[in-house]
Amino acid sequence: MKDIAKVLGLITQLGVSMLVPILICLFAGVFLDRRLGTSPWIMTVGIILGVAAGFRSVYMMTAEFFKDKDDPLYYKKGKKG
Amino acid sequence: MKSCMLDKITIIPNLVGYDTEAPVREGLDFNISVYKEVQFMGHTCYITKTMVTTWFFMLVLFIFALCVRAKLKKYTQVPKGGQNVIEMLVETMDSFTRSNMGDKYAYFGKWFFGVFMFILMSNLSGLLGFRPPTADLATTAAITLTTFFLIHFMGITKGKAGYFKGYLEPIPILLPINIISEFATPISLSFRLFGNILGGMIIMSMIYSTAAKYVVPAIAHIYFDVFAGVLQTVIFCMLSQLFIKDKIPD
Repeated sequence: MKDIAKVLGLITQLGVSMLVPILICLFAGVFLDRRLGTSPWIMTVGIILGVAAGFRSVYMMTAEFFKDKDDPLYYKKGKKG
Repeated sequence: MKSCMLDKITIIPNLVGYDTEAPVREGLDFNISVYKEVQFMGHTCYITKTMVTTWFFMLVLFIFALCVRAKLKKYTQVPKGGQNVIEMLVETMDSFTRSNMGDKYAYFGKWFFGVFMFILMSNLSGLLGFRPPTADLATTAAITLTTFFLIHFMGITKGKAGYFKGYLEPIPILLPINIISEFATPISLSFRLFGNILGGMIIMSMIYSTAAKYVVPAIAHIYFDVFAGVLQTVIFCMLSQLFIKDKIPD
């Protein structure tokens, strides 16, 4: 039951956590560009940073999920893989 | 009706459901209407539908908690009657927290029980004809702000220097990426809950505004309100606990 909830949590959260950093950086970049008149440089850097941050978020979430499975006692404890 | 706080930007009110000047089709009303404007310390505060519904649910939960407390004044060692139900609820949340955060941090169960009950009630309130408070970004943002605070509070108090060092790993150049990613965590949490509930509510409003309301509402309610509502509540609590646990060193 807990595993099912975990998998569903991962499914619904992964897409959003990939997208949100990109959008944050995009809007922050556009905002700063308008303020400073440096279009489109900060936006470009922002998008690159956002993609990397989104990748990091997804990596952290999946690493958390697969941590149990690397435990050699995981299958001995009688849990299903 | 007058538009609320975000009237300068037109896309966001439409996105999050705040009132705009645009006419609303009869029966297809999923905007957050503003009931009253109050002057408070020189600022205009808006009393919205979300706030009134939230207050109502807070009142219900308060009364329920007080009743339970009064009843459990004379508890018995072997539970009987209503005490069984209360013990089952508390024990379920307790074991849920233990399985996510370990025995040492089981005290988080008390906080997450409150969060769980509030989000569950909000999500299910669509069944009673309310506009779910969680279909407002303000509510979900407020709840995830507490999660954000807990994540970093526990990180700093338990992790100390290791918490700050974590931002420089694996290489110091990744510092900005790590910081952006940390700030994105609560935002994506709130957006997921908000988006799921808002989507369900909009589809339900659309169904009710057409002739389909004589056929499918029950099935749609089971999926969008009961299934998605309960699932999102469980996932919200679970992810919050995992994120908090993630920052605490073993």
